[in-house]
Amino acid sequence: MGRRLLALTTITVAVGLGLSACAGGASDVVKEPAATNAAAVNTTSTVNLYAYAVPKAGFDVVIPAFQKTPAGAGVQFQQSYGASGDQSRKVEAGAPADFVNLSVEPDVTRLVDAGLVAPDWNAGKYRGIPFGSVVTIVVRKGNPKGIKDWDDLLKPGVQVVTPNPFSSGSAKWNLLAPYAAKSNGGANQAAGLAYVSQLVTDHVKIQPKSGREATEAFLQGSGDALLSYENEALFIEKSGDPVEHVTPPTTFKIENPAAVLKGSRNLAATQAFDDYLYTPAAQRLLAGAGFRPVDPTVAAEFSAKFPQPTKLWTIADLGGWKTVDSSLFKQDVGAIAVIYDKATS
Amino acid sequence: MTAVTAENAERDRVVSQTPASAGPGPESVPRPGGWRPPRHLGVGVVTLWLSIIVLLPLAALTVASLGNGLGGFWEAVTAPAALASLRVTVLVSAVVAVVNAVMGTLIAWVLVRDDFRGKRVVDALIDLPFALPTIVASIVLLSLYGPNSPVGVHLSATRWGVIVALAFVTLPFVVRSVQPVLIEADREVEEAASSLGATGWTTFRRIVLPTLLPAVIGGTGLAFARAIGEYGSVVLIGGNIPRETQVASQYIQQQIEIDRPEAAAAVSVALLAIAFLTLLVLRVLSGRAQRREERAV
Amino acid sequence: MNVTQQTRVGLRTVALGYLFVLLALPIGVILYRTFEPGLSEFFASISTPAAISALNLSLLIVAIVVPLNVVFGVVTALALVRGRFRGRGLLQAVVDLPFAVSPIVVGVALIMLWGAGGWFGALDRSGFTVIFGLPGMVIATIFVTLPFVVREVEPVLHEIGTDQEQAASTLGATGWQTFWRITLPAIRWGLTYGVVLTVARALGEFGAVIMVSSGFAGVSQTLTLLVHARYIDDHNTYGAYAAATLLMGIALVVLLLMTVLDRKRSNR
Repeated sequence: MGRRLLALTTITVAVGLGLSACAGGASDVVKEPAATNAAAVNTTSTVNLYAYAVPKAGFDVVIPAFQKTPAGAGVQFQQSYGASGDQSRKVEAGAPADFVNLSVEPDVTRLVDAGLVAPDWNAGKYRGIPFGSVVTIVVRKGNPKGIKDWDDLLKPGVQVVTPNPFSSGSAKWNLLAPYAAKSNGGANQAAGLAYVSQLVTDHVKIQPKSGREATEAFLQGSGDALLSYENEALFIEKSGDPVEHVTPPTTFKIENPAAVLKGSRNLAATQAFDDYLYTPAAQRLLAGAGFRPVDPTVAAEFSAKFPQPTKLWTIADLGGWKTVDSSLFKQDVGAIAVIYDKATS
Repeated sequence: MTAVTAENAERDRVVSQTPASAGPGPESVPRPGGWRPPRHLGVGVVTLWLSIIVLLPLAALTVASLGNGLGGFWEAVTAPAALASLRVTVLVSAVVAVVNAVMGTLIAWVLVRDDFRGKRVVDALIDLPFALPTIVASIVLLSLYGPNSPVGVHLSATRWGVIVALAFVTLPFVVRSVQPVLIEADREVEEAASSLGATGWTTFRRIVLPTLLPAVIGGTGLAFARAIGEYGSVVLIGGNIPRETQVASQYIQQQIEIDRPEAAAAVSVALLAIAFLTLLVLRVLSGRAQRREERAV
Repeated sequence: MNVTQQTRVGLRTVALGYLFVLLALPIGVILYRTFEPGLSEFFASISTPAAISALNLSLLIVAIVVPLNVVFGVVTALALVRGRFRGRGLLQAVVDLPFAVSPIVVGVALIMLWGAGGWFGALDRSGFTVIFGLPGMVIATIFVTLPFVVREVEPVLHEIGTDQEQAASTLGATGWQTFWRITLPAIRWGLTYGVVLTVARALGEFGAVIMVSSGFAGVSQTLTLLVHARYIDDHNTYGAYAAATLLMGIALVVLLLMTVLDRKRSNR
């Protein structure tokens, strides 16, 4: 018996050790060219990046490009991706982060409150937002229900998939878009809420807990329309799924903040990376990966890929996240929270 | 493989029983109760281990749940959405526990006592739900029993969907706790019973079931507990519809996401209390069954 | 028990039908999707540097967790079955509790206990990283697998009773001899399943581990975290299926090994 367990342990360990002999590493790319791994030779510092899941496609191209610049030579990256709120809470709890890129500003504010990010993190020219996207509607190939604008979602029989905004803070963007469009940027709150109420009560059934799960449910046949980010829509179209997206003429600007942590052990390298994100070169790479660049020159170059909506509302138009969270999303009192509560009781 | 080793177990048993019949009665044994770890050491080790791994984290959780005082705790647990999710969870978990008790026992019996081609393969598959990351289980279940179901079964966004997902992730519990007991169980008594003219059903009810009962109850308790805590696999197929298919774990996740950790902890503690009471009742039942069986022997 | 052929076939049909719909069909779909593009695709997908690192980490965690669970699990089971002490009933019920805790809450509770700002925060501040390090992942895994060995061994201990052990000690065997020669062989099937379940669950656990892992690919990403990362972050559904198949493969190998070793032992 004891021998048996010993043998099992030995085998397990032996297998483990045997595999350790193979080259482990961070790369999850099949048949990676040897050149990329060779960069590890003259490592000078490591930057720990904590980000929400969506921009991984962007960082996958920006990080290697940064490592080729003089400032980024020899800088290694350890990357962690996950739900924005989870990542933020992890860093707050002491996860060893140097750089964060999160979906919504309150997730960075949490780190400011914890004393981990400088209060003036968004004082720069681009207010700490290296890239963004817009809220869009994903429909089935050929757009069988003829969905073009927000009103089309309220047609009888149309079912809409959008993640629950209380399971995923990132999903708040999806609801803010029609709210801002219908309320004329918050001016006519009643009209905006009337729309959201009708949408949530009559057209939203399932409430996936994250954007990715909402996409999965939609791709597997749930609903007629999916509220999503433009970059996510471009991503799934590129991977060949039978869907297309329509961006309503009036929609919402998604701004995903990035910040350097005060206590970073590699402040210089991290700051250099943050600066690099705003250079035209990085902005072009990000645009190629589906994210709307913030640099006006680069944005102009990509105007065909990212058509400018007639009207693009922003979170600032609605009074900023603090106002929006307390008036719309706060449990039991926020208007949208109440709508969600009523919709299912 | 089970059949072969079951025979081996049988043989071991017969061999090792020989000295037992040769030895004197238990009255003259210096240390009744069989081998046990040196008394205080064993109990001490167990208490320490359980404390560090289980009790202390749960204590920290309980303290956190009282962060807003007893009133805050009560308010968090009795919020309509919280109550609704607790109700859905308990209901669905109870159904899953019953399904597991019946089907798990049946599967274990078939795997130990029956013989058919491919039995080993089936036996080997039983544990796979544990090794499978819940996200993969949920995608696959959605593609099989969702809106695009190739077999025409539509369970998406229904409680049945939740039940199927939970039955999948809890499958091994009862099977694997009943199996070893069945292997060790004394078949002679069964043979005797049937040679005395007892029907299969009577033998099962009178002889086999009492022997298995502690294992069945134990496994069912675990399945129930796991069903109560699970959420990774159920949210996608259940659709997370409040009051309909939203389970308590998902409600807890939402409370954490909207920065109400005290409420999350409070609902978790409530969930734990439910599980604890259920398990305690099951233990008492199981203990009673145990004693009854011991008396019978 | 003697059942008629008819009943036997009937029971078998019900059991297998249930297993087919609930278990074989989903697993079949995963295997089909994994191997449809060919074996070489599969191997390429599970041999990326990140996948190998993840496999190593998963096996390392299993190699730490299993021995701990076996030793403490058997001692706990013995104490719970044979011990006569105050609070035994309470401990009985405590053992199962880890399962009833939502994985995300396990993470939260462990952070409150072991995290830098937690009850044992001094440990963290003294430089021994628990949360967001390997110890945290091990503790989380032990938490979610703790009941298995105890609960698998316990009913067998009940079933075998104490006659043989009493006989052995009457015949002059020391406590350890009795334990090694009589008790352990008798409970080995329970222990085997306990270990198998522990391994499977340790491999597959996500929710609790992600909360206490720093989550870096190639460093602190277990195989299950890799599955999630591939599926969620990379939209690499195929890669997720391939890694999930690898996980199931490991669980199968462990079951097979345990059974083979068991048979060898009983044939000796």
